[in-house]
Amino acid sequence: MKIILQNLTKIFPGRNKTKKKKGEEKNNEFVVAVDDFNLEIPDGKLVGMLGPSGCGKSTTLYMISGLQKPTLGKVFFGDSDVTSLEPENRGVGLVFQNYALYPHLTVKQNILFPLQNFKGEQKLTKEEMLDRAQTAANLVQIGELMDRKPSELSGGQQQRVAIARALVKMPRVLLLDEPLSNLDARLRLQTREEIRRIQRETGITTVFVTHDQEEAMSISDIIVVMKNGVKQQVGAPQEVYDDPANLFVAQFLGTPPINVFDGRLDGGKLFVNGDAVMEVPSLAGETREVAVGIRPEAFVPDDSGPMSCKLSSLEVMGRDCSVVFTNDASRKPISRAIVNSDVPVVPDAAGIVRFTLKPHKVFLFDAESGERIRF
Amino acid sequence: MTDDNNKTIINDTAAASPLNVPDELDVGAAARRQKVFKVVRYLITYLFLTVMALIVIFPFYWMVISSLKTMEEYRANVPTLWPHKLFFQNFATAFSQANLKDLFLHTLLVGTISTVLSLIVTVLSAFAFARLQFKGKNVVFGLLMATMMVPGELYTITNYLTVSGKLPFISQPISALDITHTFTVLIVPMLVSVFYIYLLRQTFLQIPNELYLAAKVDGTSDFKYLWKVMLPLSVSTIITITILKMMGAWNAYIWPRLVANDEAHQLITNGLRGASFILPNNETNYPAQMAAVAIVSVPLFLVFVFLRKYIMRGVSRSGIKG
Amino acid sequence: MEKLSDNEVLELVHSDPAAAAQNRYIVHRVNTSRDIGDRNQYKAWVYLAPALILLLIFSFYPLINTFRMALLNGYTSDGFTTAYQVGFRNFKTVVNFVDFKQCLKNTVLLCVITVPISTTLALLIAVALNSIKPLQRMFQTIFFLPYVTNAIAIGMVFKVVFNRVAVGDLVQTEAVINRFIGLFGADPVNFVNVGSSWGANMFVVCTYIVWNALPFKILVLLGGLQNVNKQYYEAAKIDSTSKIRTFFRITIPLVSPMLAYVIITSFIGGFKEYSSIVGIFGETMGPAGSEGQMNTIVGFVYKMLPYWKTGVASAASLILFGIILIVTAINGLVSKRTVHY
Repeated sequence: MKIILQNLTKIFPGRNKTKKKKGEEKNNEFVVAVDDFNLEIPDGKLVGMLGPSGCGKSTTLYMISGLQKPTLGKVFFGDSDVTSLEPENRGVGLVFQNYALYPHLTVKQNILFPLQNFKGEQKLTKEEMLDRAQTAANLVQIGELMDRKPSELSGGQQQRVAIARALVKMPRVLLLDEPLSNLDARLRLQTREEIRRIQRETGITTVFVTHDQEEAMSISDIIVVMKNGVKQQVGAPQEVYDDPANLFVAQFLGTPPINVFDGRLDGGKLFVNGDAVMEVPSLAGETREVAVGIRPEAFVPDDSGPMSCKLSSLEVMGRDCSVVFTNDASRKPISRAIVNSDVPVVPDAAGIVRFTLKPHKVFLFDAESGERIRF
Repeated sequence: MTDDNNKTIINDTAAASPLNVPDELDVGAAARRQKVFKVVRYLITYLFLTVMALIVIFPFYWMVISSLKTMEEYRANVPTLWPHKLFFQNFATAFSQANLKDLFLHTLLVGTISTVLSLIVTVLSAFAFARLQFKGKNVVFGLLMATMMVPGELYTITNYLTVSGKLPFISQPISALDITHTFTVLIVPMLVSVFYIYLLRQTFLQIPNELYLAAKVDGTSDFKYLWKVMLPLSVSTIITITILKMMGAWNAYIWPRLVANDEAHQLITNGLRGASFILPNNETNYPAQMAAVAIVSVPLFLVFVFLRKYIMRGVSRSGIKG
Repeated sequence: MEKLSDNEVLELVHSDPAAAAQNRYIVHRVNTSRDIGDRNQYKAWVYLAPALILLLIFSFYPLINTFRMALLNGYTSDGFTTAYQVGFRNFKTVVNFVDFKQCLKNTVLLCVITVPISTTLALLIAVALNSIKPLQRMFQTIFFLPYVTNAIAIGMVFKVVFNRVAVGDLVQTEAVINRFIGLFGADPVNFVNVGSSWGANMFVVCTYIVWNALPFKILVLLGGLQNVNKQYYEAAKIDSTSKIRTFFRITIPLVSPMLAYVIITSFIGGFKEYSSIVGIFGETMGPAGSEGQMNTIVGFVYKMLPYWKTGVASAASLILFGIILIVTAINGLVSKRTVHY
């Protein structure tokens, strides 16, 4: 099922609930949680909505599910406008951040619950229901836990039950709200692969929300980066990583994060801290201040390289080596480069290391607005 | 194997389940149905609440309008839903007929004295249970808690004997011991409430231990600490106990009826029940009776309106979180 | 052993803890230098004294004495007889009393009828209140209004609502309730006046008890409902659960602890029912001419007192205690199986 979000906007009334005294003017503060959001999600894709907390990604998800109504804009499932439909008529599956498993029902009863709601032609016999519940449970590998209560399960197991419950009715759309946030690091890795596998197997259009860029990058077909309720960029993870639309997206994606320096364009050259680190012939006519984003993997150690930095430390991590250095133009106290450990990094007597840069891993942004300057 | 299995079943059900038929959702019909359903649901909900609210209010309403009717109107063939003429005379009649002034005074006296004494006893024992360490604390506390299970009627029988001087171990009735028909007997046997001790102990326990240790370091005595620190921090529970105790005196019926049912000591509730509103023609003057009932109910209303949160606090503590 | 200074004790404990633990003198020294608040055992008893003395006289002694009186055959407190045999005759007397059978029947029926009705109504009202936004506060106030009432006083009001004004047998003014049911074509009923039937009396008493029980139950259940995590309802909505199914499969199980609490307290209260009937009928516990028709177990106990039949009264009160214990135990067992905590 294709999902289209059209001009989706959600405005909440102000949150400060202090009682207003009589005579005091009502100052209606509004919070724009989602601002004029447009998106088309192709059928059968796994979409990760990514952004810092409070960026409106969960609100967007809830608007797709129908639990929250958009202030403006529309939601389409396929060609039908479902904006006015209550969640029960939308046929979506939703996995809540805290799973919301019914505490008084066993795992089996929890999974059966949605099936027992079917009416009319959809109605299933008891055997069919049990069969489907077992299939769904097997899919998420909790087939043996059917008679336990949620309180007797670990976080990861609860999470799987929640997914099984959402999947069992074969929803048009599967929505997951921060599905991994309550799991420990090891389970998180395992479960995210699981989600990807299940999505591939079922082919259900799936949207999940996360603030963890690694999580989103690793399993999504498409990622949507949001900030302050505004969509920043949409695309395949690698695409977005390699071609960020602005400084925010560039900074949000990638570990270790991108290094940002204050730089200057002058006569077709890019200057960082006085060094002419790169030729930019296509912008020869421009003279301006820019923000320079350099991915850690863009640095190539080169004794005669144009960029000079002061080495702080070297962290060897097997195949790779992490070079920690300082540079006066950097916006952060330290910067980090990831280089192949085969190439020795040897500072000179003054502790200076020199790099050449891979141009396609270097991005220029407007110093003020953070908009990308392409070259 | 599992994977294959999954796929086939999912594909089968996908065909069978209309949920999965894409792009053919009849949104218009569903939206209309859901709107109608919503309206009907709200109608039923509000209708139900309104009917129940009317039933709940009706006795109060009937009390008020009956108290304002003349006997003629009250006796009228068809009961009127609002008095033709507001007859306030009933309240004066009620006051004199039921001797309400004296009843108020008695109740106020008994209520105030028993509240004050009860608070002292409660505070002291709650402090001991919450703050002091002594051997047998848990046993004593458990024993006290267990008495909450026992219906009060069990105590009443013996207490009645005790205050009437009919002590079971003494063969002859000793009239000298007969202290019934005094205010003392209304107050003393009801002074200790295990529930209040429990309530206040819970409040005391919430006061951090460090405060006590700090006071000790400063050389504060236990009693001074109780008076200067714990009580001020537990004011709301003290208020709750005060209100409940006062209301207890106001609503007490059984014990006062048993031991002090004479004019000089009657409390308001059994005074009201016992008051005679018989007219010379042998009819009951119901309007005057309702006026008396209304007068007795007014203080409770005021307490409810202005001090509701304190009462609620007692209720919520009494059970759920136990 | 010679006296040691604090420092010496400390040193010994440090150097050889095992030996120090065997040394009674050191153990004594360590034990008595307890933390603040542990000292002065007697002080706690001083604080407790007023409460304990009063409880001894007015609670613990009566409790024992009640058993004693109940188990002495034919015990009376009139002071004329002193020697009694131990036995269960008082219990037999109680059970064989025609009056008591009536009281027992009335009490049990009151509970069995009113507890389910008031609990169901309270649950429905609480759910309805919880589901609306406009006027919620207004309705809430109305439903809590009867929470603090005087059982006797409002009982008198109920009497008036159901009362006919009659001169002799001639009905002068029908009860307002009869006027109301007359609108639906029903015949007027003699609810509380002379010659009224047991069934009609029972109806009035049950109505009053239900009315009186509602606010507390609504309060507790509404509190329970408001504490239920909204996400369960959202999850149910996502799964297209009907409102009725949501109510039975989610709401009721999740407020079941409050339901159990409300049911058990109202059963206990129901078995101790007395004041509301006094409010309606007065101490005669029934309409004129059929006195005692609506009497309850507690009423029976108090009826025995002025006759000094304290042995019988004690036996009756112990039977009441037993019933309450059994009901509490059954409730506990049932809720253990059905209540979700």
